[in-house]
Amino acid sequence: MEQAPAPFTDPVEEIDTERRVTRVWALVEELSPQQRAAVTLSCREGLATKDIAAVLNVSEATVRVHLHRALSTLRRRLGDEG
Amino acid sequence: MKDVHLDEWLIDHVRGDLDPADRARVDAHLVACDDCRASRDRFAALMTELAQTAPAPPPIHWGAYRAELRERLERRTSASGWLWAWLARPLPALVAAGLVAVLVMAGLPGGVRGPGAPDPLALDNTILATQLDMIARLDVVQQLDLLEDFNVIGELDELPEPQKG
Repeated sequence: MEQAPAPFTDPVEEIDTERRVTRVWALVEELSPQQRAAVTLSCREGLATKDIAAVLNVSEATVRVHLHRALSTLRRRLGDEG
Repeated sequence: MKDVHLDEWLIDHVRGDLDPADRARVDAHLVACDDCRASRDRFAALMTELAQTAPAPPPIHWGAYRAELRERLERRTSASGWLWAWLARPLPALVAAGLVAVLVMAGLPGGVRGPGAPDPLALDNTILATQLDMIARLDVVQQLDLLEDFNVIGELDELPEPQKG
């Protein structure tokens, strides 16, 4: 049985992607505890707003505010870096 | 409502986490608002990136993890011994009395917070900061069904590595 050739990946592109990923999560670490918790539970655990609210013991509106501020901050910082 | 942006609803809109009425409201706003539409797209891209690149949680040896957890809980219970047995009875009454006192003081004009009193939000921040490790490993906590005992689980990192073989 013949093996299909591995898809070509540009090593430079791969390093850039890796740097970006590291940078994104380093920026997450710099967020306030509430914002970091909201991002972790939302993006990593995939929890719904009401579940995040239950875990953090806050209202759903508060979760929305934390998520919005967190992602706005991340967007701004990533944008500033180009 | 037409001129009010719905910034804080955009993320739930991206995640499909809105009830039908709210979703319809945001949909209607997005049709009319270029800024919010662009903002929503940028949030969607960032959230996809975060979800796809989330660092993997640390590997866990479940059997050892549970055994160690039980052992720690038992050790903590037995270590507290006679002192806790003595404290346990008046403790609920003391806690209730303290709570009533705090509520009464908070209800007084001016409340309990003086000009130099700590900000409750800062206190929340501090408490949450100590629990972030647990939140990052929520799947572990859920499977252990011990969410209520954050403090004990939070110390599990300090456990020795399980013996191999």
